[in-house]
Amino acid sequence: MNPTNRYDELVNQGHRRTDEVFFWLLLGQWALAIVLAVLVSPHTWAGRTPSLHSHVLLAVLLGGALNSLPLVLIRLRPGWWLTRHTVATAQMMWSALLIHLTGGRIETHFHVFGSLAFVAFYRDWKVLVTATVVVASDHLFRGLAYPESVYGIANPEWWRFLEHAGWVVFEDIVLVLACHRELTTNRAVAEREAELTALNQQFEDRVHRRTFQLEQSMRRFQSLIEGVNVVPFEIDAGTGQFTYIAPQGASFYRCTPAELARLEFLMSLVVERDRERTSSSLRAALQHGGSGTIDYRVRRPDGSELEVRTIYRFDAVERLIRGVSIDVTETKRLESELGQAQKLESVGRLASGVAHEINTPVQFVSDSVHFLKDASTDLLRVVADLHDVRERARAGAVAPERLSASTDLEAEVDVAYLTEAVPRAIERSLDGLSRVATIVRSMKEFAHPDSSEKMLVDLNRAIESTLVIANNELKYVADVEKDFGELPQVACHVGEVNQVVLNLVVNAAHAIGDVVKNTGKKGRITVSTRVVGAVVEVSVADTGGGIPEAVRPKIFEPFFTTKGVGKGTGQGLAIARSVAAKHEGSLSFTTELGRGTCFTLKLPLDHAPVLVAA
Amino acid sequence: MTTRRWFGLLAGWALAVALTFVGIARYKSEPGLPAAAPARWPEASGLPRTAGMATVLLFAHPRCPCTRASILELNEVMNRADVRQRARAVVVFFQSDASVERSDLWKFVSQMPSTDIALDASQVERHRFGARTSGQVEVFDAEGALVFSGGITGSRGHAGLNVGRTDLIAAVTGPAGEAAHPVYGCGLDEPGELASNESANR
Repeated sequence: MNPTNRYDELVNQGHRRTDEVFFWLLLGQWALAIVLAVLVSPHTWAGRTPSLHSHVLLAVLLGGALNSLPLVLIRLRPGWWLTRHTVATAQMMWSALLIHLTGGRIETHFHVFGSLAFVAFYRDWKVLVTATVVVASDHLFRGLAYPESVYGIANPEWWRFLEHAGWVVFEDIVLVLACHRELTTNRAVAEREAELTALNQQFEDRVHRRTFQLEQSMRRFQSLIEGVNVVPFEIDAGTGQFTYIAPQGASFYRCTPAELARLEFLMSLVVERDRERTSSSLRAALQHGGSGTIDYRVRRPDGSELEVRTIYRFDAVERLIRGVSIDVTETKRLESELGQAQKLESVGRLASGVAHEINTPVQFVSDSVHFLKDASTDLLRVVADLHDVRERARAGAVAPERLSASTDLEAEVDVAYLTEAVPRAIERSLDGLSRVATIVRSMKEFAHPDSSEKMLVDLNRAIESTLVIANNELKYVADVEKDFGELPQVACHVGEVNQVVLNLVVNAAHAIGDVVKNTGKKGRITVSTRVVGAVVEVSVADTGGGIPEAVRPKIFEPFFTTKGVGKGTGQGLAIARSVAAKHEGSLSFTTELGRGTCFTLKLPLDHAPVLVAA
Repeated sequence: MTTRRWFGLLAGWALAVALTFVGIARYKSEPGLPAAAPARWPEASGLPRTAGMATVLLFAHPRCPCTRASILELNEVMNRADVRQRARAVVVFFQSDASVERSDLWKFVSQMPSTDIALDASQVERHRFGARTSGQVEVFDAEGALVFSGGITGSRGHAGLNVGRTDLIAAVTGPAGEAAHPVYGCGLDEPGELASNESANR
């Protein structure tokens, strides 16, 4: 805003306001004149006969005439320079009229000074000049023609009007100075207002721009939030009710918008098996804050089922829980398939090692059986010879040559040796077969698909089986040290836990292998289990090279691997962590470059009802 | 409306206002009917008269707004010590209505110095002294000779120093000035009476 324009605007506003003041002042004077005329001189008389006094007519007609033009101008052209000059003229004529009607009473002349003060409201010295000229002219001409009407005496001095005009000019000087000061103030105000307006305009522009950006951003986020196949929500921790839930939730849960808005309704959709767990997780979040992930299954009103994962975070400042619910039905199916595939891939990858493990006992079982076959042939020859000798003895007598031949045969067969060696060979065969059976059982246990429910299992035994399968991967690079604590039955998906342990020990073997290769030395893998509070910890520590700093944040990402082609797909740790999450447990690690790494799987001791392993 | 038209209106307005002022002035300067005052104090008069002193009579319509100025002028005169030493005033009120004694003028006059009030109920005295306009002042000296007759205001309802007042004082204290002056005020004659008087005068 231009300060000059603002100044002109302020001055014009002052003119208009003063016009309005005069509108009512002129009307008031007119009304007062009529009232006074009616009260003081209502009638003129001829004897006892009254008639309307000319003062009443004068007040009505002359007052009206005097006010007519200024009132019209005020209404039609407020703020115009001619309006205020006309108003000033009319106001001074009101003074003249009052002085006239009061016979030039000196007290009535004060009306002139009061009127000038009102006229000064215009803050326009030119209007004061007009007012002064009008009042001086009135005094001059009326003083000459009809002096009683202006001075109250019939023969005043010729210069009397100059005396009156002098006092008016005196007041004018004071008023003009006041006007000048007021206008100076107005100019300063205009400049300040212009500065403020410019500043304000800048702020408004900025606010407008920011508002536009915010609206754009809001629309963008709204379309993002409401256009995806997830259901963002916000829950007030105080009331435990939704303050927001994305409208697509209605199609997600196949319910009405009114039903969607009720948390209780959505909780009722959770299948009974998961309801208590889901509900208590939510309650804990509402009471204690924090963040988390809950997986559960819902049965929608139309009967269809959905695997849902809700990821939430508590905002302690606003006391709100914000989160999203995601349909993970397909993800779960793929995870399950991927887990199984990875398990089979492990089995496949371990097959040659397992075969080798089986081959060794099979080899010495085979050798023992061959030995037993030869031994049994020899022993059967000795038995036949002894049978013949017994028959000869029963018939009469045995020739000494025959006995000697039998003795030679025993010596040839070396019965004494066979008597000692055969049981050992049988023992070895049984041992070998037992080892094969163990490996096969382990394989069977490992590769067996999990049921959808958790089962109570002996975790130490499961880990033992996994170590058997992985033995061929481990034994050339590391000694395996088992430090199994006493564990209660643990409710878990044992196949998945086996998979995690297998991944961890194979990774440990590979890490050690990288360190000891071509040195002939072996490292050490320590597998330990223990109970800490309500959690079972399974640790796999190696003496490998440790995980480099740069790699640590990525090791749980799917398809991330540092191994060469054919040694790993990058799925192992990703799946291991998802298994831990599925059990509401965790998988973490500590590592030191050059010293090794220790992975720890923590599984909660679940007290929920579970199936008992057969 | 164009500025030129506004100026035209302004000029017309100023002219109308100025002419109205002239009209007022002319109205205010229009005197009432002059009195046919007796040359000497009528012996039949019942109005009070103080021996050895001049008598100042003022005939007043108690409801006439213009007469206040005449009363005020008389008050000015009677407040002069030199006048009070030589004259006593009588304000003769016309019985316009039953409550005349409660009129503002009556109350004011009753406070004036050296001034008596006479109620001319049947207007005998008014006719006796030939007064026809409210504000008519007649001064008779100690011997009963008329020394002043007329008004003591400069115009209708205008108080203030004027030739009438000056000559009234002169008539009492001497030397006498102009003895006759126009009177400004309401008529004391009834409308019919006025017409018959006028025709009689003609």
